[in-house]
Amino acid sequence: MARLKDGLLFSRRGNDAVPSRRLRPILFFFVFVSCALMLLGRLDHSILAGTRWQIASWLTPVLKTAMIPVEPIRDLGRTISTQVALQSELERLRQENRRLGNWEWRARRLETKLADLEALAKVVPEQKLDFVTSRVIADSSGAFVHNVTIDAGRKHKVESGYPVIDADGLIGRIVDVGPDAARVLLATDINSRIPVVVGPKAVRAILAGDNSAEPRLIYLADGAKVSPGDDVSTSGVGGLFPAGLRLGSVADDTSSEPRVALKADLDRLDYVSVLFFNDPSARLINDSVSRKSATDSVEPMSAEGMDP
Amino acid sequence: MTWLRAFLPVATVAILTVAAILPWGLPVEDRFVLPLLPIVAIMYWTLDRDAWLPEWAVFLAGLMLDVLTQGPLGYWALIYLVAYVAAVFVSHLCFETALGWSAAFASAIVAVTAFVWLAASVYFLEVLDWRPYVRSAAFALAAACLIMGARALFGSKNQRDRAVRLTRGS
Repeated sequence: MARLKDGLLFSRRGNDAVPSRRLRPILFFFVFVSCALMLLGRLDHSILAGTRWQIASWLTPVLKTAMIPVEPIRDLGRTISTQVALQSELERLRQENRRLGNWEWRARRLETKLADLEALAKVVPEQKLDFVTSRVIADSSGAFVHNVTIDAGRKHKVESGYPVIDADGLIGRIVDVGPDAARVLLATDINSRIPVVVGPKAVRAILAGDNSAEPRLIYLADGAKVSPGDDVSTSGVGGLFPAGLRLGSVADDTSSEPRVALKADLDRLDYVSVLFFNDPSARLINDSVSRKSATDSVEPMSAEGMDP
Repeated sequence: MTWLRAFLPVATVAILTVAAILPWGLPVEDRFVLPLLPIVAIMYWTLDRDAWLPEWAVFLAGLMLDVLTQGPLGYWALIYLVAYVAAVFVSHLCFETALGWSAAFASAIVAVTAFVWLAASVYFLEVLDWRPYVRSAAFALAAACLIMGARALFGSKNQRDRAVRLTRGS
């Protein structure tokens, strides 16, 4: 038994009885691991990307459960903000309704005219896209990335690359798919690039996100005229997105790379739809490749058959 | 140490970490406040010498946030560990009044938020906009004041002096 010397023994009373915390060596080990992970992430290590999405997929049930108490709070917040802006919103809607009344009449006439012209020219009707609607269960918008996680995955036929829309227009595309969840890269993310057409003259450009609320228009042709308020929609170039999906309108044209105000409110995404859109040109290539391989496999067979 | 003090610190940090990635409908510029709330919890429980908040729990909370936000892996883990270190440093300082404690707590939050901005800027190799960070730090400070106020109000009633404790040392 250790002997307690009088000089080394003293009594304490009260809250100072418990000693302060100390920095243990394990803490420095964790700091080292964190720095090493950051470095590996910066080097774009492929193992990390796959593993992290796998772990995120496993945590989907946790997120779904956590969403249960969040939804009433979100609804309450939405109700309060709606009530606050109700009067001004009502006036705006009245004016918009008057303007849209005229537009509706014009749109009906143009629709009839277009249908007649299409019938005359025997235009092939547009293909209808199938889709699935799902709920946003996590929002990872921050300093580094702008993406959301939805609760639809491979089990719901969602695949990587599919465009995602909400009631207001295109919001982004699927970049990672798990069995029950998928990650949507938003149009504002720094890695997002969307081929678009701008305005009535259909000026082509690329909508590039930079982690700000309003993405930029880059690669505009020299001398191309873009004005504030011009509509921006997908061009369909490259086959990533179908043509004609609405994105927003030009917010300003003061710089060489004008910014676009998106129609969709990316801060308040609730339910979104995934369009089952596959690049038609990729399908053509696949068809021709399979036809060629079928021909190649038939020829030797027939040659063998001719041998006595 | 009661069982509540052993369970509550890890539970609050885990819950706030999951809450940080849920879609609350906040604007993008103000969303940054959400990952700062676990920092407030980490600091609060580290300053409470009776609470059980091990380093691995802090590290795992940060790592979980990194995985779920798809941000740089290790970033929030490092930030949370720095917050832990800052809180340990503050816990060694001697303050007589609650105001002194609150000031030290607030300074630690501001210092960690500045580190968050610095680390992100270094990662991107460009000076990032500091305004969202300032707004978030202000919100985190308000949350910390609220917690300290609640503690001063309810904690003093429940807190009893401990019995005589013998300690060996020089």
